[in-house]
Amino acid sequence: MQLWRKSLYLLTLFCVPVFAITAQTPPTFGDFDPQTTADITLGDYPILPVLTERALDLYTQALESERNPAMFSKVGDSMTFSQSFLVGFGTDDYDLGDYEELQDVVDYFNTGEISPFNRENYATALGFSTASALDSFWADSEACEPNESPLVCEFRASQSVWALMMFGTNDVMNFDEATFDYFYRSVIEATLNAGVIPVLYTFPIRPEEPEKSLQFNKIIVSIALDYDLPLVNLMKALEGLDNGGVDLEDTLHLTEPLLPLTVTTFNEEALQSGYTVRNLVTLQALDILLRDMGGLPKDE
Amino acid sequence: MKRLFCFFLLCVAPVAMAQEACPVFDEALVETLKTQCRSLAVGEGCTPNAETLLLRDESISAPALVKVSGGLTLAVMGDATLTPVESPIMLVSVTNANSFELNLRQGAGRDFALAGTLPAGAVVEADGKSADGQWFHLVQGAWVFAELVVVGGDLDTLIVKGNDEASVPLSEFALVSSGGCNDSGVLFSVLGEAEITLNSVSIQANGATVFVGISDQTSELEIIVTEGDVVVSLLDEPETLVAGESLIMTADGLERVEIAETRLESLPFALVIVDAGTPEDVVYRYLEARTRSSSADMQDLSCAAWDLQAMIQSQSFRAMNAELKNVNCLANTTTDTAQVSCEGVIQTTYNGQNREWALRGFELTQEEGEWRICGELN
Repeated sequence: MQLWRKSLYLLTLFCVPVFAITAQTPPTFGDFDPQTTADITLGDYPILPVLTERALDLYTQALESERNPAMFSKVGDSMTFSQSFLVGFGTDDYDLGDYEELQDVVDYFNTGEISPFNRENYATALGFSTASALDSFWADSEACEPNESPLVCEFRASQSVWALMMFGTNDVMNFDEATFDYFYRSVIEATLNAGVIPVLYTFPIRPEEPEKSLQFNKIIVSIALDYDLPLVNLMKALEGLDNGGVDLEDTLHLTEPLLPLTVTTFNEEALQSGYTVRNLVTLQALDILLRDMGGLPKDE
Repeated sequence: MKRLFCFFLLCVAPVAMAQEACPVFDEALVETLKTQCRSLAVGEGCTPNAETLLLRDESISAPALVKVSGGLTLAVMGDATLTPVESPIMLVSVTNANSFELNLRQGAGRDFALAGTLPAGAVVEADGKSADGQWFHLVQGAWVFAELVVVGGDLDTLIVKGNDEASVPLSEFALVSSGGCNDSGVLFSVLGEAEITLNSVSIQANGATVFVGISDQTSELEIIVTEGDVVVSLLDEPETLVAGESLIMTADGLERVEIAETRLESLPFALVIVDAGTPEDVVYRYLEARTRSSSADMQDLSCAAWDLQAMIQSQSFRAMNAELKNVNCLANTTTDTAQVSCEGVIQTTYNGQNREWALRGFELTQEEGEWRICGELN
């Protein structure tokens, strides 16, 4: 299990950007064309992202505008809101195991007074969807301005450079494809307008809606392609796990390892759970992007 | 709810009634009802004595307010009594076509306790659905998540059921008068479209104010329209009434009659001003539409600049099983703008967890003579 992950990781380190920057027009509701995802095969896309030209441009602009390169925003539903997503790396409660090369990226994001791994986010919540991210009603009334969406509030409050963004688990049960495509693109537009780099994730398959989950993940891939953005193919990373890493007792969430193992313990047993895999690939993704952008030294 | 009382707030004189026992819809009575019926739910009626009545279980006699649906509340007047007429219950088959058993719940939501399981391959019958269509009510009393089952039959025939019987919407009633009071019947006003059937006469109202009187002597219905337009049908023979027109249902069918000036003056609704489009009313209906994830209704209540946000807001609670609790809004109004602050909460239930969302205020502007939501206050 570890070997293939490491292989993929190393492989992607040497990948070159393959996406061309394209100017996207803001989405229009109802414009979704299902044919745009017809040719997408999810398995063809690597688990870990490659640095895209647009991401590099955004990174440069973000540094120029003095956003905080050691800050990322978590954006998404309860799986992202969860204490199981990255929090242990901000509280010194982790074990990188054989992935000790990831210590650099953990340290990089823990250099400031506030760690993005465990800081309070304004763009994650239970029941959150792509529509919620745009709806000012979901914004924290104390931290956010009137009529400000939780997304824009989060980017203003955090001054983050990165947005680790995973949607789909709630959307797939409530929206049709056109609605999801429209709202997700609107989220991306708002993120880009804030000068933040969206890092998109495919989401774990909802057992209640497996086919629709696949279709929604294709939409996510198509959005990443259209906007030339980094993509973490989490769904692919979870494929080898029981039930795709989803907790069948609570299909909104990923599985966790049994104590004393934790979701921030990177050994073979803990990496049989969904949250642990998501944490691993997230650190790997940030490591790749930072090294390719020059934020961390490249490996020899 | 309180917005419906706006219909009566500007009563200028009590209605002269034939007998002392006949209640008069004067300002004092309206104020009392306004206080007592603040949180009236669909399928409920209430009286000046703060008695909440379940429409499904019992007849409701005047004086009372009865909330038939989200946009339709009846004032029951004189000595009229309203009794729901049960529609035949339609069933559809529901199959668990999955390879695993499904949870059954005691209510329409994942937060409700388990009520058993539906084995893989099992076929059962549903007699209702939740308002959002996401859950089916099975004849044995439990609920199952709609997206996990295969339905055999026409879903449109299923009635909407609530987790409690009070929220079961009803639309067909028997209206009777016990005798002695003038102007017995029901009065209602709707901003949009609403339909109700009284004594087998279907009344489809569109932005209308309507009085439906009942005679204790002849049991004839008298239908008077003072605003908007109404389609009245008996045995599929529709008649359209516009403001100032009237029909009487006789043994021979529907008969169009002229309204005498004196008749209009004697009627309770001739003494009230219909003003259901107040800023508070618009905000309440916007919030109520939000709990139903109704994009069309929310956009209808929004200014052009808020249209997109209304659409977004209509969708962002879809997973949340939202309902309004104890909402009471107050407006600070100028000529062209209004700021509406609301007490109360939207209560949501998601994955078994309840959350209460404090309501924010809204900014409203006038567009084409109507108050429209155009922003939020913090």
